[in-house]
Amino acid sequence: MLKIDNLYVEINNKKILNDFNLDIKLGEIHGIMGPNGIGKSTICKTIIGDSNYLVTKGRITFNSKDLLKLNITKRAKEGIYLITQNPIEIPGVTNAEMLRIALAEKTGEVVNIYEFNKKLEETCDKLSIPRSFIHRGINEGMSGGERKKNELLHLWMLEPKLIILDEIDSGLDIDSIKVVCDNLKEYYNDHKVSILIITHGPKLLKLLNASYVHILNEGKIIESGDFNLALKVGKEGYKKYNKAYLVSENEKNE
Amino acid sequence: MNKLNMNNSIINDENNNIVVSKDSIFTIINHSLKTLNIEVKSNCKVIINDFRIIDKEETNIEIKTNNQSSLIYNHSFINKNKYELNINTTYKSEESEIILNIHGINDNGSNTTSVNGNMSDKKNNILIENIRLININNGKGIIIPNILVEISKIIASHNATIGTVSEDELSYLMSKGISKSEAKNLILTGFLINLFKDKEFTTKMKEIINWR
Repeated sequence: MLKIDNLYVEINNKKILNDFNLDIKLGEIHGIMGPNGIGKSTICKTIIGDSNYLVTKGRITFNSKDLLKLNITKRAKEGIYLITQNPIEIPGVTNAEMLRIALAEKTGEVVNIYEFNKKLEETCDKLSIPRSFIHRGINEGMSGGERKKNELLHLWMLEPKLIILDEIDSGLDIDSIKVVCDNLKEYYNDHKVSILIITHGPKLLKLLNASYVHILNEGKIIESGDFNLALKVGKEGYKKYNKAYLVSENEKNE
Repeated sequence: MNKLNMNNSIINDENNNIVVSKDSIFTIINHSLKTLNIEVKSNCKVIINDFRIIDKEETNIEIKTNNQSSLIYNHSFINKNKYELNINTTYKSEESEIILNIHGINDNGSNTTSVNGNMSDKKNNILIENIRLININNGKGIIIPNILVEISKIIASHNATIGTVSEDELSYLMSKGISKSEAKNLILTGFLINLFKDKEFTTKMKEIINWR
């Protein structure tokens, strides 16, 4: 489904990913682990097509389509969906407005308002969020937990095929993480999609039953394994992998 | 002749000299407004909701408040050519508040928004100025948020920003599968309507706003 080969990415002339490779097949759940500032979010932003991230070499294909030839909108229409750790708010633009336009652009057809509203209400009920969310500004005035649920509302409406979760456990309490993960699992089981999880620790990977775990270091995956690898990192930390913990003499003087 | 819709009745006054002695909501939607002199009597609350698409206009607003009165002026506009907005506030007594919320889009137009808040002698008054301009299509904006404070025991604050459409907001909407132009229209419309709580008012605004 998603295949990344020999990818090099930089932002503001700083090289972040070097020879990054990843292969996610339909129905697979992968996790990428690494400490702060190692380039985990760069992977997400590059896959969705954020123009601030410059791909200097390599290839990304999604269902055999060359993603690098598509802009952010077209990639979303192909079914790629990102939930970030802190989704932004857009005051004055309601969830309903945004979703109606997104669905109309995706299908090329006028949205049936009755069915659209019905599905929105059912999804709100499923997520245990008030139906008033439908006509609220996107993430406007919402807590961290509410924002994640709001993004899940969008997810159920837009029905993507590949879900990328960028440290979504940040800022969520234990109960909220469980609600979000249970809902994601329900979507996964219903829609047979693939999930890429970016995280610091094993908790989110366990809750979502990730089968494949990768360790990111110096812009590339340096070790892959099953969930036991996440448990090992959870126990031992990243020191074994990450040279960033070792400050050079030059850096000490900076 | 200017039209002000107050509590569903039209008031026509060439100079728009208005003294308000009961709680009121004024709505101005896409009407020319050159002058508005408004005085809010004691213990009275007034909200003015004002949305205009402007070609060329100069608007001068004088606001006076009395004891324990409140005036909230919510104004959003699309400026296509030239717009000068001048607001002067005067506190005739104590314990009143004036809140000015202004969101403007300079769409190939130039705008000067000037507020003179005079808090020179009356205590326990509040003045809040929240002025935000977005420039698109080579539009230009200047904000002059003056507050003259000569006594203590008042609250005065201003927030003035001039910018363009947020790249983060554009990217976010595009990542949901919305084209860049449609995303921009959504953000701009949201910016204009976000000041108003009255759904009927915002529905009318959406009918008028056309970015194409």
